[in-house]
Amino acid sequence: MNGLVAPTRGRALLGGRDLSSLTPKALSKWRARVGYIPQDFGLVPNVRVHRNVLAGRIGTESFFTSVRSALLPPRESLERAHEILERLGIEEHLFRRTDSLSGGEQQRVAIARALFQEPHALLADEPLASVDPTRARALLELLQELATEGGLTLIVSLHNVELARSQFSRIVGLREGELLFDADPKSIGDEELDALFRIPGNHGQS
Amino acid sequence: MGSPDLRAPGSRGGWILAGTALAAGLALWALDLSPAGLIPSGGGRTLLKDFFIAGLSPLTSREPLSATDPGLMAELMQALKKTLVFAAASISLAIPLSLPLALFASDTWWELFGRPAPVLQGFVRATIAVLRSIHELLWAVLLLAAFGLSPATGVIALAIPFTGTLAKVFSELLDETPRSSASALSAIGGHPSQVFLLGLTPRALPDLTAYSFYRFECAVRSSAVLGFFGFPTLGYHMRASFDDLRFREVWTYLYALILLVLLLEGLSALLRRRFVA
Repeated sequence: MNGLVAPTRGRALLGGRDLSSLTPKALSKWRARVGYIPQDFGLVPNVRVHRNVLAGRIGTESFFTSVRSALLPPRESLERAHEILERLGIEEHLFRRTDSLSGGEQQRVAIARALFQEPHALLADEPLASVDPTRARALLELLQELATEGGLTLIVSLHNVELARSQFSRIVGLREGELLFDADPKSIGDEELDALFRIPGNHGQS
Repeated sequence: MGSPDLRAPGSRGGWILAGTALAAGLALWALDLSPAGLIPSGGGRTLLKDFFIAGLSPLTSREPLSATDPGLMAELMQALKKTLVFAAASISLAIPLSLPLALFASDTWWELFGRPAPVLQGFVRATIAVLRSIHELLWAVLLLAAFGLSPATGVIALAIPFTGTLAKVFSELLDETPRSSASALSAIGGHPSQVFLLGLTPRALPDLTAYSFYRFECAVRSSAVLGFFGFPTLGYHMRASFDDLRFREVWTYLYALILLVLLLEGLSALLRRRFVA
């Protein structure tokens, strides 16, 4: 979805564009518009939280600007980062070392980085993989709220079909690289799910 | 079906151990070493005994050797200072020189740019190998012959192999650094150079710093030994004292060197703790 993995066969079209055919510059511009929350969060553990958040604009900043905002963060950026962390309920950690935070807090730092990026879409890879099942629904609701507030398209990859069905308005079923369905959750019946879950693995997307 | 085969796969440790022992045996045989050769002759034994007994009572002062003798302690301080200055100068030269070499020798750098490692990488790795495969004392001999005895000769002799070793280890440390933050920053459009500097380097920095400190300690020891070639470091005075059979003075210098290295080790541990925590 952000051209991190090149298609082994076929083509991946996004907004009518084939990402693997873009020049590096155009690809970078595309990527800067898609906020990304990796499954492993992709944070630098041994720097303070604000540096991870401020790195969100790396795709639109010049080399010099991005290095400066890491070493001498401008006041406006810090204020914006604080605002985002406040929204996520972890503003007191702005200047803490990232690896001193709990897993859930680190996930929020990754979300904060994606929001600081000011993207058009938010892409979360398996956000529930690292979350206590009782908090799964709350996390998806938080992502939905953030997307609504920012007017962002939210794309989440999930294994939990129940949650996907109850939380999202569109579900794409992928199995071994084949598109099985792309539909409204209400129209997805047991038949489609059986096809999706026949061993081995699957990805349900919304 | 018979019973399953539950024998654990053989360990390679035993073979490595046996191979090492065999190699040691072959080396002893090839060198014609025998324990008898290690027992010193009569004169040697007295010398050895005198030397080690002197170790129990290192000198803190001495009768002036000449009209211009500054005294042992003043001489020692001067030698320690020179030893440190030579080491610091050569490391300050070696670190900036090794960084670009380390980048071009690493796999990570080229992978971030999404291109296969070019011929340049092989060339840089070969250069690094040449730099570090010649010991600093050999470089000193070569450079002394070419440029004569000057502080620059000593500093460059140390800096060349240290550049090679630092570059090799730096590039390995960079390649061992986890990539998750770097790939996350790539995914949101960071240019490879930005990703390298902001996503990868911060994670590698504690290791790079710790290794640089360690190399500085090594440079201090090498700088001391460089004195045996006439540079004004600890080795110069050790050699002079040893040649005059002033063993208690030799020990003064030896203990000072040991203290210096221990001190640096403590200091680097302290700095590292503050830096990493």
